Amino acid sequence: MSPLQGVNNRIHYGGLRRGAYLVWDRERCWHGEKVGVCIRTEKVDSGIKVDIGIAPKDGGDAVDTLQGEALTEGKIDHIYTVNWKGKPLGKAREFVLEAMIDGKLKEGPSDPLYVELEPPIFSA
Amino acid sequence: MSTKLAKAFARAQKMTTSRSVGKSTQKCPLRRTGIIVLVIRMPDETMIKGARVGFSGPKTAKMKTGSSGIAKLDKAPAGTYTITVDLGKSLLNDYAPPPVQPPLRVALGSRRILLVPVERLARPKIRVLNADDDKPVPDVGVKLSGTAPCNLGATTKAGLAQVGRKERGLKPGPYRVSLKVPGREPSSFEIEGRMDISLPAGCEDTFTFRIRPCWIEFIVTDQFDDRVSGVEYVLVYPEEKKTKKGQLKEGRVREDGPAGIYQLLLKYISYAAWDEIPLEIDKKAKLTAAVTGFDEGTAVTFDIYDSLDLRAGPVDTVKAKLGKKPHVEVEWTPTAEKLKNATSGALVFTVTAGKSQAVSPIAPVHVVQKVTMRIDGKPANTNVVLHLTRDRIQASVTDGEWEARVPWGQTLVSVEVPDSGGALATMKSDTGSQAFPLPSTE
Repeated sequence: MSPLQGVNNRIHYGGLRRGAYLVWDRERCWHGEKVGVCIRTEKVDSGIKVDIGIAPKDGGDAVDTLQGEALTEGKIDHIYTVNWKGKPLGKAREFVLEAMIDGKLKEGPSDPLYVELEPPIFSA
Repeated sequence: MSTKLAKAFARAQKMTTSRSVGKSTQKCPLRRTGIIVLVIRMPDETMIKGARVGFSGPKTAKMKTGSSGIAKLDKAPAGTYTITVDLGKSLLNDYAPPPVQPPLRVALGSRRILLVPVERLARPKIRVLNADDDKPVPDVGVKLSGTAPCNLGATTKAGLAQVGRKERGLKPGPYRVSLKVPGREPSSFEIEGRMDISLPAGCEDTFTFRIRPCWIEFIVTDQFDDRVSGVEYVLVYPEEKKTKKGQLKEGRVREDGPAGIYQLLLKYISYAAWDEIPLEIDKKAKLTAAVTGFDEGTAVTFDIYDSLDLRAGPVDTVKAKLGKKPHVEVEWTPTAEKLKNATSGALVFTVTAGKSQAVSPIAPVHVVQKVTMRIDGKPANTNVVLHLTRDRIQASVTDGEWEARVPWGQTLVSVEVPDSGGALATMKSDTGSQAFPLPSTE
């Protein structure tokens, strides 16, 4: 951003963009595993609350939410256990993160996490 | 000569000469020598009553002027007289001291008329208004320099400053007005109106000055139009004569100061980027960040992460210092050793300076594999598809050689040569050699 500049006796307006980068810490996991949810923010103060939603990549209701995670020095590293038993997941296997920061900054979706919901089938 | 003065002069003359009354001539009632002093206010030529006139010479006398402004010395012997005119305390504040009179020679049998002009002093009013709303500005110190320097004190609630009623008026002449606004440097306000004024005798005009305090205001919002707080800033005054540091409160920076162009530098990193994407193993990459508002020499840290495994910490860190330019560029080379634990095949970096942080876009990492391909013992000229762990790469092989850019972290699963199904193929790469019959495709 170039500096805001202007002559006296005027009000000059400028803007900056807040942003966030959110990501699963892996691309694939088994159901029941622990995975990392990572967020890095730009121009968002420490202590700001972040609500994180986990939703099917192709759309649909959130599978789970992490409410009120607080930013510390621009980051959140949360260990999340994939435990969605009984949830109506349908055919969804890829899940993305969406974040709502400070109730207004919506970021995401992240790259998907492929969750192996069925046990592996081995050939005889 | 004005009518008023002419009448006064005529009145004085009547006292000195004979008067024509038809054909007869009335003899002058004052047969002996005398002096008539006429004290007159300029420029309106009003006669001044009560001025004290002193005669010294062959005959000495002191007297006051009457309502006609005349003091008359009768029956004075001929000779040289010194005449002084003194306005007295009651008139001193409103009139300039009468000029010193040269000695007056009075001949025998004559009467001399001496006109003593006295200038009325000026009592101007200085009015100070706010240029933005025309409202009076109180407490502004007003000084006049020039002919007779004078401090008029502070403006009243009505924005007026003037010579006090009990104080002496101002000598006519040119003056320069200076204003002092409490709590402000002279450079931090502009004045509308000529500062040089000319005060004629008796001037009671009101001179109006409009002052416009100089200020600057910046409002910083985010993409939601919410005002941003907490970001440190550096405010640069006009011509970079001064800087001021602070922290945004309610997204606002307001400063009173001299007129001119201001700059507000927000202390933050506005972007972070790779110079070229995708990255290549063993090829230098440039990481850049736009860093504004920080002092020269501020430490800037680039932490490079596997784009997925942020929690594991950076795969490498590059430190730099901010130079004179508001951006930092560092070079970094991804190597197989540094990325041995990076499984995602892509990198991202954060750059931090002070409390500010920015995140770069994700950069895929490729490794260049030199592939030679022969089909039936001859260098291949064909289309080929490499099936990797997650991706596939399609290319044309010419003269059996191909530089394949393989995403980092992926391994070769199969090779497809659509044009040569069934032929025996040997493939060599940096990681080994494989011989296999090509799959048939339709």
